[in-house]
Amino acid sequence: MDLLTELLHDSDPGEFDEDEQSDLLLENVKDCVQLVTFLLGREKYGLDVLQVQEIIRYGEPTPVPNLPDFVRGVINLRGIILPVLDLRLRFGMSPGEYDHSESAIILIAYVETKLVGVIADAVADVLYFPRERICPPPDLMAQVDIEYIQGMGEIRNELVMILNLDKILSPEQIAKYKIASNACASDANANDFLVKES
Amino acid sequence: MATFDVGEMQQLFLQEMEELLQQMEEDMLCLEADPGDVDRVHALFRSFHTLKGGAGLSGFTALSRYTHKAENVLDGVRSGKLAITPGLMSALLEALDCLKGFLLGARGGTSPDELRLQSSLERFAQLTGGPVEALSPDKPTPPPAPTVVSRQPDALLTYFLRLRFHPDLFAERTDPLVLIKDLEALGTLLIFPHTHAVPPLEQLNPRLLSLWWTVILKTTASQKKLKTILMFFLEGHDLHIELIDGGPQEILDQLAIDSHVTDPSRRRLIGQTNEGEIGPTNQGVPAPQATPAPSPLPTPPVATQPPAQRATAQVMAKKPPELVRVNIQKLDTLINLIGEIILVHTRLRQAYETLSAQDEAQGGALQLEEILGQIVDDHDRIMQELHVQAMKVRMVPVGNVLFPLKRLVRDFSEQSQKPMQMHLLGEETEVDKTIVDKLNGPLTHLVRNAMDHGIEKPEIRRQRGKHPEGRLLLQVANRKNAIVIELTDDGAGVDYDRVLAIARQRGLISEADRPTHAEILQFLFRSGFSTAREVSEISGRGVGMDVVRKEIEALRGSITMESTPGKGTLFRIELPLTLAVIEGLLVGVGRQVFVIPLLSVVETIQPCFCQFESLKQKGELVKIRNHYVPLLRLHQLFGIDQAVTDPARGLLILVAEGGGQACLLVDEIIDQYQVVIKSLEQNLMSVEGIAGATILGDGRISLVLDIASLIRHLPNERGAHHGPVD
Repeated sequence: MDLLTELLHDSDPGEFDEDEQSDLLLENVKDCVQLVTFLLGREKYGLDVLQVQEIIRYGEPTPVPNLPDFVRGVINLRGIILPVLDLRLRFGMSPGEYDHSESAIILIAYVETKLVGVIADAVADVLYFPRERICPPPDLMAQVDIEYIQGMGEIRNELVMILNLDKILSPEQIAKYKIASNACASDANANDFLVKES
Repeated sequence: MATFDVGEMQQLFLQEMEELLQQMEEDMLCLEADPGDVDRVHALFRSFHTLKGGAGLSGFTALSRYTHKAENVLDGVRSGKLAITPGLMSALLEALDCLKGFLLGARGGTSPDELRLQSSLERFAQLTGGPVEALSPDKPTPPPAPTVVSRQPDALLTYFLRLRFHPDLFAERTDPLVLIKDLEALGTLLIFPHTHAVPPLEQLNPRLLSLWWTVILKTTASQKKLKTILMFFLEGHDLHIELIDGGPQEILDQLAIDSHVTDPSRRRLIGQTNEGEIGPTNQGVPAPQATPAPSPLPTPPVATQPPAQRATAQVMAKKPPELVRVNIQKLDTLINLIGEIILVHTRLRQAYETLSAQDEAQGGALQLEEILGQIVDDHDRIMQELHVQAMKVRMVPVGNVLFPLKRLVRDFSEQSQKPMQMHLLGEETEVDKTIVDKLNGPLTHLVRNAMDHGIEKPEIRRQRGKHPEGRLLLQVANRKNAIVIELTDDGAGVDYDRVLAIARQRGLISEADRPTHAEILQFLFRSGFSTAREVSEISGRGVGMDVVRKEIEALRGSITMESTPGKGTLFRIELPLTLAVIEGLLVGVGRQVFVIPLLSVVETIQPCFCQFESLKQKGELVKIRNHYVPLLRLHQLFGIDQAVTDPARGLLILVAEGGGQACLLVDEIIDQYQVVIKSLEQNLMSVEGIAGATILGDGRISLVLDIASLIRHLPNERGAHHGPVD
């Protein structure tokens, strides 16, 4: 059984019995969003389970030149070539050590019409989250671009940030990221390649 | 394209019409070139006829009438009443344009240009000598019911009809019973189906019509009326309409003769109906053969091979190969799967090779060679064949895009004061459909350019000692694994001084530079660069050659140009045979593996014998046989660590694309492979310098280099032309 199926299997809505989940009644499930949560560093993020096709163990992607650093490269998923995104880099965290990690995974998710991989340090859970408890992200989130945070909420005293990655590969966002990261980079590379609009 | 109120039937017809029009254009142009080509006349007649029939059935009545008129003209030609004159050809080509307009209109929901149709009709009328008929607007065929309702005894006529349709009637999407029902609406009728040509069930081909009918119709309708109902079938089918005023006996005799009926049981059947008045409609299957014994009939010679079947055999011999229309997505899925299976096969082979090496080390104890070797080899052969065949499915003759160009030249030649002709060579060459579809734009542009800027006015041509008629040659050939398209004109050629002057004026090059002719030609591919003094309707807006180049490169092809002032210009487009699979050279750079399309590779060079130089503005250069070629360090370009950085210790690969050259520095050559290219764009985006990715035998991904784009982005932006040194 693959990781996602396993997780889905464990998250039977009838088994709400812990803490905050316990007050959720079965009939409320339709007002919930089902999230796959995962860890980036010590923070917990969530993606709508409907977006996630599967979860695979981390394997090193083939790097593709002339792309922003958070696109770690491409992988071959049963004949489909798809990019792998490192959100730690995109969100300005310290680079992760995935190669020797036992728990690192890649979530295969649909982002608009594209199929992409998202690296996570570890997968956490699949859980139901009431829509009404999702609050908008605070403006003062410095670390993470709030453009990619759809909302956030608390489960079991833990903060989960719900991601919306729809625009992450749009030419505008890539250009913005490049300008930002070039400004940081001290040695401006003489590389004059630009990413073409797709 | 959004279409409304266009049913599936109409959609099918419009699709068919589009294909027919393409074929007709080709036929017309060939006929114009060779008026003696009777086959083309017949082909055109058939095309018009098919259009007419289809239009009528899918409810485009005006179109059906229009094509009927056109058909008449061709009928005249066919029977020798009309000669093929330039006037006639122009009228036909105009008709074709009208039809194209109609097609566009029908798809886009706009109405056809009535005036144009009318003027085209007038030309037909002049040609055929008939009166000019106005195209009456579409109106539904009046229901013929009234004749039945107001049954006037004095006008009651009896018709004898023999409906022996072509066995391929169903292919025209016609249901004969619908026609019979239409006839029924005219009056009362008696139907005799003829079943003797129907083969036994197990041999029955449901796509062929083996039944035929004899019909006795009592009606007040005129013969003309009957003919309108059967209008689309009067030709090419064996239909017979006869007015009989005789009594029942004559009818019986007619029937007997007509159906070769000798079977007494059938005679009885006819006899019975004969007794009473002509009975009520009987559309059912006739009484099953009463006699169980199969051979009471004195077999007429036709019985062994029923006429219907014979006719089919004749038709089969004449008809072009049978075609199946398939959604291209299904085909692509299939081809992708074949791509996958090729990759798996490569892995199988690798596994076999590893095992057999182990086996050999152990003295052949496993006898792998015997057990597996043969299988792997057979598999190899079948895979290759499968792949070739799958690719062929996507191939279509390139002529489909070339004939419209011929037309373009013809029309331009007529409108402008510059007579010219274009010859085609190799139009039967087959190219991947995706490529063919995308060739139209660039080729049209090149041909327009040649007509407008290349070919001179006849006076000037005479002064220069050329034939007053301009000549264009468009030839397509299959070379190695590529398609080469060459467009040659015998026009004025490029005025190098003028191009250089404009380039200087625009600051593209300094006054001191003395570029070669080839370098000057590169300016023409720059965006916004135009040498035309005035913008004509045809060309000269300066958007063009750069777009042409981009489009060709998007197909992983290249375009080059040669020109001799006063003699003419040659454009050469090289394209891959197919977009999906290429021969590639696998090279290693650091830990990464790249694929260089073999078509771009000129040679590989041991760099220890080369001389390297570094020039300002031009970057690093390698001297190869007295030419300096820019050096591209792949490790540097792509930021790869642990690669060979000393050119003398690596390998150089000389590549050429789009008139430019470069030397790529790599660590090593790994292998030569056939690779299936997958797009990066699908899930990521298009990346400059990378044409796509491929999955290697071991499942790893390797990136395919886009040589044309790499060369274009060399530090010396002018295109890396290799000029002689010193």
